Amino acid sequence: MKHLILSLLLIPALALPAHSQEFEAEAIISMPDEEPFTAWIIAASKTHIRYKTTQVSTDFIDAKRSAFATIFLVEPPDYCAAIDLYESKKYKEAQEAFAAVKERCKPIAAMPDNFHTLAAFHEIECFRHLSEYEGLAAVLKSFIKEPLTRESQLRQLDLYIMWDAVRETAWDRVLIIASERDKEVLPGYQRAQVAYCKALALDNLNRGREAVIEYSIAMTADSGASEILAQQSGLKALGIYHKDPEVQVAIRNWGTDDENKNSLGYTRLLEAAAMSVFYDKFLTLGKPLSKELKAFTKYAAP
Amino acid sequence: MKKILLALVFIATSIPATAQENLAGLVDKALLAMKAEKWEEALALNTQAAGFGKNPKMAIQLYGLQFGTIIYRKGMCELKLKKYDDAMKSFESCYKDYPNDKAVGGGNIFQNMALLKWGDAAYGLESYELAITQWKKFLQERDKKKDRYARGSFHVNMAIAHYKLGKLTEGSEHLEIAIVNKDVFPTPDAAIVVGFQALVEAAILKPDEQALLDFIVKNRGGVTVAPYAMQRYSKIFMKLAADALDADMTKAALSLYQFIPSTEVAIDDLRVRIRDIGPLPRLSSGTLRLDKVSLEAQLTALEVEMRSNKSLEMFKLNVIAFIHESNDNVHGSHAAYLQLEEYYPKAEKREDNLFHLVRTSSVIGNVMNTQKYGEIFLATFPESKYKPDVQKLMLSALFFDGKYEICIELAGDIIENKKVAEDTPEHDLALFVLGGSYFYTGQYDKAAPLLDQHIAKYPESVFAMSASYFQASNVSRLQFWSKAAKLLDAFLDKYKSDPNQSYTPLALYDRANCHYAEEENEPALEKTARIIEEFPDSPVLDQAYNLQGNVLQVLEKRDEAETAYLKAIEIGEIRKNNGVVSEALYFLTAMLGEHKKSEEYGPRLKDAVPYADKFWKEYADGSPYRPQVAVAQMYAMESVDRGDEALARLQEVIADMAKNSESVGLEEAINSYTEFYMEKHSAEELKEHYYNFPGIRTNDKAARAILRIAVIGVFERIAKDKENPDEQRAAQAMTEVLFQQLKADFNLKDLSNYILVKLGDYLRINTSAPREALPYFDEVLSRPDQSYMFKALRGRADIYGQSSQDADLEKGIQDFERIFADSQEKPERDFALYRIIEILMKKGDYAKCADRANDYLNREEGKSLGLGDYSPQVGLLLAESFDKRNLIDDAIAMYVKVFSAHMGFIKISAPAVHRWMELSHKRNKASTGPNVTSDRQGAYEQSYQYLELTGRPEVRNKMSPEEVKLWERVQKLNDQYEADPNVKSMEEVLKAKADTEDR
Repeated sequence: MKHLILSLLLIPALALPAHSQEFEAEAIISMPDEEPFTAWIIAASKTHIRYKTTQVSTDFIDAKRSAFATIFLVEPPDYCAAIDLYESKKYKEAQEAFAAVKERCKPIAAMPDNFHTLAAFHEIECFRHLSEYEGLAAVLKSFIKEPLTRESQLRQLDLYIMWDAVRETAWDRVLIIASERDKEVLPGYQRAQVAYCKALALDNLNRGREAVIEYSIAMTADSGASEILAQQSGLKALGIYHKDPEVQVAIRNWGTDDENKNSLGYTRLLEAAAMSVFYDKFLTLGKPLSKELKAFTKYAAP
Repeated sequence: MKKILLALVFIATSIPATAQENLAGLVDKALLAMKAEKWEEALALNTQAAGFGKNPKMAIQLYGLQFGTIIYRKGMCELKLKKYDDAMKSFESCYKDYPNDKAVGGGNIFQNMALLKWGDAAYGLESYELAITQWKKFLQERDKKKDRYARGSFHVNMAIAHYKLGKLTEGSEHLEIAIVNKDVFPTPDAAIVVGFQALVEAAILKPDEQALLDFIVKNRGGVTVAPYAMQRYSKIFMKLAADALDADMTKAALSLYQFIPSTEVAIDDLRVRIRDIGPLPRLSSGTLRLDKVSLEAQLTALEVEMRSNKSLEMFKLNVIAFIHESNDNVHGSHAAYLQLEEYYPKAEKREDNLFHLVRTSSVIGNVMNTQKYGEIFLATFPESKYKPDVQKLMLSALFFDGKYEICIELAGDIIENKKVAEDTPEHDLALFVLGGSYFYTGQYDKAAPLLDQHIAKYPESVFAMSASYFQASNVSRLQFWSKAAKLLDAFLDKYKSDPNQSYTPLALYDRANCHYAEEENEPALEKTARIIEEFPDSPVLDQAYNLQGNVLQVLEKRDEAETAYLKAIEIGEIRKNNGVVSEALYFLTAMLGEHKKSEEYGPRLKDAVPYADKFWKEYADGSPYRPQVAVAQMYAMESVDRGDEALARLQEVIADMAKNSESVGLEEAINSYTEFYMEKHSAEELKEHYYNFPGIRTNDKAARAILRIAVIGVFERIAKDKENPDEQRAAQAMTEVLFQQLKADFNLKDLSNYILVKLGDYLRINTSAPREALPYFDEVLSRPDQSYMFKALRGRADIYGQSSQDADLEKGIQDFERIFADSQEKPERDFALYRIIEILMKKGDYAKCADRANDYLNREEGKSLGLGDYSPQVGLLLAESFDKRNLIDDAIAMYVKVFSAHMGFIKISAPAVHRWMELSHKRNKASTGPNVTSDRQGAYEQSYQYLELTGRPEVRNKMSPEEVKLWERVQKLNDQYEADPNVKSMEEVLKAKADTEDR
């Protein structure tokens, strides 16, 4: 192995963070046609890395990134733990964990798909899942997207523009953005977001019937994996039914001589009943239906 | 005992030289084979080596406890070769037969490990209890420093063994240990997935969905692996989810589907990993093992799958659709099918998916999608088995959403081009939809035969009730009042007990309208009262109040009518039925604003003004009642000194209406305007004003024609004024000129029904070519707009009735029969029957003519038609019908009746007298007594008296030349009979009478 030990002075491109000496990221690296070895990267710029060959070493080596054929960053345990929390849908804890990882991994922020950037990205995702749009906007403001290379993550960054419009309750804008995104073939979890935001816009623009369709897409796009969106969609769709005067007439006339099974209100009441039962069975997530929405279940087919 | 030291790196005991050579060689070879994973060969060598011991006792004696390691290795080979029974025996032997001295430790270094492997072999034999026991024993007895084992796999296996025994709680404890410590043990992802799979299977088998759900909630993060790795297990999770679904564990199934990452995300992740490996063939760190070739193969497979027609996403959406629909949440299944069509149109099951999308769109009442995707379906799968269903769904959805124009297009195509077989549910639907759509779009003439056909053909149809109502209501819209009445009564009777009463108030309303049209006011009130009392939520409630008001107004119960109209306004305003409110405001304005020109203003005339003002302020915009209110308010506005404002309003309305050739009421508005205008202007000024009416453009042809008709009307009135012959002549000339101009200047299509009838009548009555008028009447009768229909029928029938051709006469009868049956105007019905009788006579159908004439003349209570305007003519025709059939006595008697009753009606009485004279003279019956004259004498004497009575100057001077001629014919015949020697002249008769009196 021909490691070139360089002086910091010779590599002005490598700007090291203040606490860089305390940071280390395990990586498997190799030079062209050479065996890989484990290294501990302590800092990185767009063009260079500084690394140690043993964890305990105090010596470090600075080298051009282009000198390596492979720089494989091993997922650090704290990042793995944060991902576990995220996958366990413990978004608040996950957000805090990602924030810590983000902070700790700053020295390698310039590397592609580094854990500072990935943690920051997931932190924003946590804010989105928690519907904390202010937090989302704040982190997004300082987010540097260049290191991200996964297409789905880059597209997610674009979708934050839509979420920001939701934060601003700029419903016409949300509708335009979502309708444009609607035309793309998106992964289920992103389609669920687009449908949910579109539904919110339609709902707030008093286009309830269209909103119910979009909420239903949000509930189904990723098999309900975006649980909070699916749950919110169910609740909001049921809210639309509840506000519907025709549905209220059907409720009043239920079982009386005035009941009209051919009326629009009656049909919608049955829809609401089926949806409320579905929610009760599959979407509650510990958030049961309110008393007034729960009342819909009475009208469900036995 | 000589003990043999085995040649192992960690065993250094001395053994006898000969045995050592053989056994040691075998052991070496066996170890090499094991290292090379040549398990059969290794097993053979280890078995041969084990044979050196004969039996454990001897082996220990010969080689010491170390011999147990050979048995252990033999067991390992058997385990690898899945010879679990043999392996168990080997491990049991290793553990039991070669026990180390606990205190000293020992020669059999695998004694504890044999427990672990004994458990593994038992596990392989599915002896889970034994496996668990041995493993637990291993944990208790193992040397924590020396006996190292793969802890992750151990806990996963322990979990699986418990799951297999149905012990979910214990199993999950072990699986959680494996998951929580996966980085420390480590536990490979594959092992976690296998353990989780066992949990799902056990939960399904037990069944215990909640245990599975609890585990997922607690360990979702640990079970979830990175997307690039997870895709390897996607199919396993799909299978598990499907099994859960089959076991009715829908919530668990949903949770399992949620583990499967999007294919795009997995591809994304794979690409990054491949890039990061760089040129290395493989890379490992901790539990991470990346093989570049394998990753590239997975990437290729996923890319192919994503482009294929069977991706996981398609499958998942199909399942989600199924889950939602199974739980009656059709909106959810619709959403899934919508995504399948929009984002995965290449799906292998697209035909099914698209069909279900159309179906669910229809179920949730999303007509746009039903139509849109229905069209796509039919274009893409023209031969599909679902085609009839799709067509049906599209039609149903469109129809019940009121998209009638599209329904006409689609159902029309199906029916006209026979795209579905008759007597099928598809034909039933298409026929119903087409008829119903024509009905709802006011194309009643087209709707009628289709609805009739539907009712005859499909009495058991699901649409039978709707079709019956449409049929009856349609007939009423066509103003066939008596037929509509029968149909509506039949409908109301047939469905009186049906749970679905939605059509009942509508049918009652239509029936009330029929009653009203036929001047059956009390039954009309009874029907409206039923709507009000029994169907207060009916959509026609406010209309029922308006109709009630109309009837009460006819009955001169104006206060009650006013109350009804006000009620209609109250309800209409709540329901935002602006049409009904504006109609009620018009009715109130018209009723309260009614005024005869020559009379003083009544006390309530001014009360019409607030209603008119409310109309103009709140409801005039877009209201069809603008012209009516503009006309109706005229006197009321004049009474409060707002006449000029009202006239200006009328002028504005006329100009507005002129822009639409279909405007109803324009004629009436212009006529009214003319009336008020003429109060202060001459006919010439009117002509000038109307030829340049403010706001009316050159291309407002209908309006311009109406204005010209109005001018003609004014000149016609002057032309009838005999007091001023000069003006009369000039007006007649002007009328002719104006009519000719009108005929020349306007295309039939440009003219309204009113103009067409007016022109037709002019041509029919005032020209020598009445048939020239037929196109005008035909045009009116071809239009959906039913206004002036009876007038057009009358004009056309009259022309046909004048013809000498039987076919024409038959057409004439048909038109008159229609008027007689359905007109709500009694004079029209009276005239129609008279003309039917007349044409029957002309056709030579004397018996039928007599029958209809008897009907007309019948005054018997209960049988009388209440007609009589044409009794003289009909009487004469009846007499003639007897005459033509040589029923001489009857004819003579009827002629007498006619001229006796209508002596002053010369056109009738003169021909009757004349023919009676002829018949009497011909019959020539002799006198039968002193006071009974002979026929010939009687004919002479009575005609003489007739001539005496009608020949007086005051009568004679009023006769028209035609009447004079008829009268003179009688006189001539009378003179002729007087010359008969057998007839005594009146002079002689009177003289004889005087002589007798003298005597």
